[in-house]
Amino acid sequence: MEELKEKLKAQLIEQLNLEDVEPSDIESSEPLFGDGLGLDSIDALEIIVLLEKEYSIKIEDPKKGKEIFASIDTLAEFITKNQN
Amino acid sequence: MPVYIESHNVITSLGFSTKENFQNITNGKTGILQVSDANFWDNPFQASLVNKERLNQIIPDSPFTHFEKLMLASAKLAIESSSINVTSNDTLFILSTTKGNVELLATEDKDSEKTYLWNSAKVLANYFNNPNKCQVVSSACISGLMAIVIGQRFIDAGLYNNVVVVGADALSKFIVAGFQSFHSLSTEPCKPFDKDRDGLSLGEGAGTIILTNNEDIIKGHKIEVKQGAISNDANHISGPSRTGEGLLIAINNTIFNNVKPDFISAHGTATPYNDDMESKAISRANLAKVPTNSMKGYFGHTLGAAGVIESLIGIECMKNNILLKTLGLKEQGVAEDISIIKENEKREIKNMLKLVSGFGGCNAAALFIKHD
Amino acid sequence: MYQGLEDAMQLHFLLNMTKFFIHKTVAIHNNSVFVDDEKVFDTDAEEPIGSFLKQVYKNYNVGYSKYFKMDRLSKLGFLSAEILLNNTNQNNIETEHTSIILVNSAASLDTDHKFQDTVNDIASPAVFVYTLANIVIGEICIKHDIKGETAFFVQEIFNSAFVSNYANIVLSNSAAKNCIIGWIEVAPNGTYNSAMVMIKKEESELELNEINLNKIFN
Repeated sequence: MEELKEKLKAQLIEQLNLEDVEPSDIESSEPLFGDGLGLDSIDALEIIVLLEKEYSIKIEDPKKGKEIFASIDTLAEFITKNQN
Repeated sequence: MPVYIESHNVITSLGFSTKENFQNITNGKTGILQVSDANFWDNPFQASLVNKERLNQIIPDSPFTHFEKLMLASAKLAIESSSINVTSNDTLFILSTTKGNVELLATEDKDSEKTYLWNSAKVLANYFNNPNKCQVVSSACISGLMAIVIGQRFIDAGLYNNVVVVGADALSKFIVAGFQSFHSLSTEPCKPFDKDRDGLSLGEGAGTIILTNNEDIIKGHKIEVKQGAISNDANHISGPSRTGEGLLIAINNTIFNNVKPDFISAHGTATPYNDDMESKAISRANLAKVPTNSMKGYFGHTLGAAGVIESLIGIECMKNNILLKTLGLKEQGVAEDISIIKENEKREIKNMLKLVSGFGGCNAAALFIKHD
Repeated sequence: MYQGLEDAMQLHFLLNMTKFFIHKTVAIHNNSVFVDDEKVFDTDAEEPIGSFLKQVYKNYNVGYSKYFKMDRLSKLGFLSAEILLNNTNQNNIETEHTSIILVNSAASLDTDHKFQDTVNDIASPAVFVYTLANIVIGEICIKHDIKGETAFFVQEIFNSAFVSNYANIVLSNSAAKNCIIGWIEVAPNGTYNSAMVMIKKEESELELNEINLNKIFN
């Protein structure tokens, strides 16, 4: 799980063009949206693309993304649960 | 200097003239249907498409692309019933489009000059032998209404006597894929201002409005393009404002001296955020009691053509004194309690406020007035 | 001179108009930044547009993390506006009454090609949003809280007569008190150039007219 979280941090930085952010700057439990990393609605849609491309997981309803994308912890948990 | 509408045309899935479209809309028909065509999208989706056979009859045996045919056919039909001289240098053409020939990017013509919007403008002006540089307005989904406002301003300033505004956008895989990636396409024909609305339906189409300062050549009702305004939310590049502030600025800069519109033709895309935002702006402008509709349930969101097409349908409503229902709406459910029209109703309409909003945080409003 | 214009008509148009003036000019091309014709920053001419613009961003200490999410067209327009509005007192500019008119030739074609490449795989929403030329205006508006009239025109080459006339109309008729005019071009092959000016009612040596815009933009 820790390995997946570190991988996710690197993938988010790459996919979302988070220049000047290092994987070590992201706390696994801190909120990705709002005050935390400051991601917005387009980033949420782009994380959906990332999940499909890298983990073959499809999210049809972006509204469900809110809980799943709350933090690196929740995202990693979701991927672990939904991957074959 | 007052600016009037002299001639016009609308091309959508519902017909090839303003009148044909208006009649089908009055009868409650929708042109939105399920499209299963891998040229657009691998999965079936809801959209409104223009009949290609009829289009080819208007612009036959031509080297033109589908988008160019839409643009040319609409302008041609409007010009045929107009008495202004489009080859004269006191007539300006303005083209409104968001994506023009973007479908060519998937073909071997991807690096051709045809992919440039100014080239489409050249095609338009050359086809009608107009000597002026045709201008292209490309400000997302407000382009069409903006082009009308800009045309009105150029005539009002005395720079031209006539302006031919042509708005056109064609559906392509590019556009469908984009809106799909935003998860903003509805699974059924769109439901503007409904509590269960879940996104927009795409449409393709074209509309033409010929503006003139020559009052004497107007046949029938005189419809004046009074004025318009444009504003920016300064909030987010894709999400509508959560307060309606930007659209409110555009409304307030369009209607003053206590003019109350008799009718509002809203943008009403049927995405959750757009319709909420519009309801807030309309309510904050003290227009919550003004009958308001959205045309998107009839022919979808026609992007850069929407402002032109929907203004023209609204103008037919003014001429015929009828308020048209918002097709697709079952139970209203937006942030503010505004007066969405649910059934067709005969009512005297002397003026109309048209609203549009688009990506990039842009908003536009325009006021149209009917003179006897 | 305007092709479709009769002299008498133009006279009528011009006589009724308040005059407006060009204040600051910013130009970015050949990996150099110019303010009022003076070179203020440059890098190796061989450097590609992306890394050149990043150095401009760093040089001006912009500190705006959203910058890195923008496409090349928005980055170029955004930085041009940063430099144009740099050291200006925001209250002095009255951003709520500021208007923006931008023009280019390629619209968003640079990003259109990038998005087309993703269409057959998994379409990227973060790329799609930049496939509209006017998004660059939105980015500038967000950064500087500009809520006035905005417009994006596509022209093969900058049409000084049209833009001068339209800016005059906007400044005369709308709530706008000042106006940014710019040419922001990024071609699909990465060649780029930009020029941006601030127009105000306050007098300067340069009046807003076709001839003066032509000198700056063509």
